[in-house]
Amino acid sequence: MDYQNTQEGALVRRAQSGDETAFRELVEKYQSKVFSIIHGIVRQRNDVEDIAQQVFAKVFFSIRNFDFRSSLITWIYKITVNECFDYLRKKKVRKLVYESDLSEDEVRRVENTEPSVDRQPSADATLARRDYVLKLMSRVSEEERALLMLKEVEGYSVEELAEMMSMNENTIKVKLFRARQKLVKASQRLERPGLVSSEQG
Amino acid sequence: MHDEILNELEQYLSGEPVSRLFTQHLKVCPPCARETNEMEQVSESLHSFRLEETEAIQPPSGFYAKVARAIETEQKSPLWGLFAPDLQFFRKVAFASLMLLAVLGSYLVSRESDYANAMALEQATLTEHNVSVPHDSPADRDHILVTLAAYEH
Repeated sequence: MDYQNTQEGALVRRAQSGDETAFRELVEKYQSKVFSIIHGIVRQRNDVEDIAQQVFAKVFFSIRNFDFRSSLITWIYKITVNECFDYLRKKKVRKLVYESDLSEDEVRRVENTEPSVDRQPSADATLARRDYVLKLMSRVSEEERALLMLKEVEGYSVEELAEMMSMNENTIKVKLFRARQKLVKASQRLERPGLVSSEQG
Repeated sequence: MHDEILNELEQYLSGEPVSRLFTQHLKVCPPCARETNEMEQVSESLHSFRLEETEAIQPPSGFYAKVARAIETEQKSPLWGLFAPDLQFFRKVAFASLMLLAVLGSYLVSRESDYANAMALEQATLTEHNVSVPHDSPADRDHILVTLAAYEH
């Protein structure tokens, strides 16, 4: 069945024409999913709600541009993933600016007052791995990032992705392969956490 | 990477069963084996974005009200018009561009006709004086002397 003619398609069209009740229904339908995606990427409980608000505000302002070529959840997924990476990029910049304002002594003091759990080797290793994966993912385009996340994190098959994005399976395979090649190239340039310490130890 | 691997790579990375052709090729083709291994490692790294069921966060009650407030705040910000352009916005931009083109076009055309007039005037002056013809013949010299004498009188 054509997606536009489904129940959700009708709901989207109502939201596109400015029906607030329809938009509210969409938010309530997908809010849990959006919260999970955000938490999976940023892992900061306190920030999840703020990012989710931004995601739905973006959905509201751009829903008129939604062209039914993919399913709504695929479209929201892309917006959510991009918002998370945007948030992480801004946070990194803010942290750098903040640290550049501090003297060396102040930086040392701040580092020493951080919770002791953060200084545990396993927590450090987890953070380093996450940082590494985030860096890798920042090397691919927004579309490739969303596609990889849908495949690797959400576990959709190539067949399902092809249906969700109205593309044929071979196109999805090629897109995924190219994205993976970029990640491999990026990983060769970045130092993989865990490998260095184990080699040294 | 060879087609034997490329065709079933996604299945392999998802942990699904693959054909004998795939596994046999990996054994005999070191470049494919190396690349597949690198892709497998990168694929595993991405699994860190997966959430355990225990880690799931539920949206707080009244979340929609917060979204509505966020939208209201954004709508008040004049910058939204720039970052969330709609069809109307693009129409305005297209109209403004056309107007600018028309103004620039008419300016250029008027400049061109001024230039053409100036060139025509210059050409007429040159023709009048007939600079291309040498003025050193005896008849010309006489003509100039007569003109000067007439001027003195």
